[in-house]
Amino acid sequence: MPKNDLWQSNYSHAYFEALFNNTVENCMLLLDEKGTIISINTAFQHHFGYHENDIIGKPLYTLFINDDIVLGKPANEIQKVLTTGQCSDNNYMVRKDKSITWVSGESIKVKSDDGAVRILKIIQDINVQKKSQDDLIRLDKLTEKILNSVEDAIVILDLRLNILSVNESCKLLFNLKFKSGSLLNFGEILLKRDVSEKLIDSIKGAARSKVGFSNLSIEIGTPNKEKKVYDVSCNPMEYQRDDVQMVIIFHDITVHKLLEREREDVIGFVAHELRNPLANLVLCNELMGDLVTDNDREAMKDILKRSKNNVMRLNKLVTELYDAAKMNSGNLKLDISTFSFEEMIWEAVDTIKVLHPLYNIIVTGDGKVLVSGDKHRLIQVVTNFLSNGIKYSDGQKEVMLNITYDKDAISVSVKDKGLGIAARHLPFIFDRFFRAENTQNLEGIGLGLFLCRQIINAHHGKIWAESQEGKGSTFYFSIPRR
Amino acid sequence: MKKILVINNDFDTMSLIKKWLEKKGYVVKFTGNRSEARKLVRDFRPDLAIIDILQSDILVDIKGGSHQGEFPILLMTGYTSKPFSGKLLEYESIEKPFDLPLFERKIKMLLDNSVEV
Repeated sequence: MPKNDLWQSNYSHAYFEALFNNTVENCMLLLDEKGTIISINTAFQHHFGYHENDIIGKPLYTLFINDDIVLGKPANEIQKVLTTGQCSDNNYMVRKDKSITWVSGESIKVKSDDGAVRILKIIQDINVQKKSQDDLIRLDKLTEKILNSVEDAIVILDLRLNILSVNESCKLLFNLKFKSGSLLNFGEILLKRDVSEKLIDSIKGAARSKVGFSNLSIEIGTPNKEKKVYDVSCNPMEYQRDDVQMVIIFHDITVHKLLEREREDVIGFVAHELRNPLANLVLCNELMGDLVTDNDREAMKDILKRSKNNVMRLNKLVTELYDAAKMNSGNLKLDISTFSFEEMIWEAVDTIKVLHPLYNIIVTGDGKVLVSGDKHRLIQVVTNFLSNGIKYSDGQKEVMLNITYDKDAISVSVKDKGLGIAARHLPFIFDRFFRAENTQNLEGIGLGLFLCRQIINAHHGKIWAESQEGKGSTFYFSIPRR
Repeated sequence: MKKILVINNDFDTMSLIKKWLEKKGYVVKFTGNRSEARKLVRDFRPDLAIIDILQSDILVDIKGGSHQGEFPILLMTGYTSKPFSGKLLEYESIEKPFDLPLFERKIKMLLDNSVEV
């Protein structure tokens, strides 16, 4: 056995004296069994600012903060040392200038040569460490708060895909019960949730290569059975040297995807509507070829008329589309003039009568006043109201138009006894591309009323509708008399 | 003479197709109305129905029920990108605006494959 010089040496007393007097970091106190301070070393004087005269003879609790004294910490410490021989703890201590510092202390029971019981207390000032630890905790909490305030689901994994940290959104999305320190493999969670293997493979690939990915669109079913689309990105980050963690962010793009799909639907539908008159023109041309051969003039006239109609239809659709795009970006410019309101109404009525000779348009009320506005655009609104009344007439042959005015405004109503509009659809009928389900079989791309609203808004007027499904609709607009 | 039923919401399309096909020697009737379509399937007994994709819900009426027609269907569509869903995929289709020679070939093919009762 190697000999332990310290114990066998006759100089052990000298060693301790040197340690007691010369140490810089270890503050030492000697207490009697009642806890009265009977000796301090220079390190203690240096760290706590007390001179021997200030502190010797004072009880140990002089060095404790009030909260700890109330809790009985100093008394407990002495009690514990005297019964077990040792005690250690971290706590605050008060310097002479009343400032406090965080210390780590150990007390041991010793006996003096004359057999008296003494307590040797060794203290290290670890305030700096404590402070940086506090800072770390604060930083951790801040990070956690930031993570949880973000709507994106965020999970941080190690390279074996074990979860290191996860925010609330992510816990919700994957129905996770994760406590920090527990072992939970994110790969297994994804497998259980039946998420596309592409995601799991991509994350595994990123873990292997330490190269991340972004813009991966993944469909995930939420716990309440909705299908949502997420844009997933994964970024490996070197946390410490040789310690790579992966941050995975799930950004909900469901709404965008829906809008995209809606837009595609609309474009497809518009194309379909544009191709109808085109198809008719193809047929007209083909038939015309035959008729020229047969020299059938009457039939040729008929086909020519149809051909013209379809060119007009095509042009109307294109104009509507162009107007809608222009008006939606707020570029509708009114061509203002002053004109007789009633004459404007009759122009619109005549246009519709030519197109639909079988229908009876009954005009009532009085509109013999001058107004200023864009006459052409207002005719567009009235013809739209009238042709809607006819289009959705459901076999009824009458459409009623009424004009009223007072000193402030002039109003028009167009009433039909046709299909009517379901209450749930009524708030949306002036929206772009809106078409109710029961009108799917009728021609149109859902721009007419949208354009009317834009035109009336540009006149600082009001536009609205009343309807009862199965009983008919009344459309109104009013514009101020300037 | 083979009988063809045309179903669309566009009067011009229906009547022009009728004129065109009558010149080719077919007997043609058309409608844009659901109940009328059902009646025509029963009474007119077409050998082929040409239906616009937007009226394809009419198929439930004319291919189901007691007057189930054992006749082929040719779908007209103005969509190029939108894929047909489900059952519609089984049917032959023609895109608008029509490639008339192709249109005619498809009509002939569908009529030749159908068994005369």
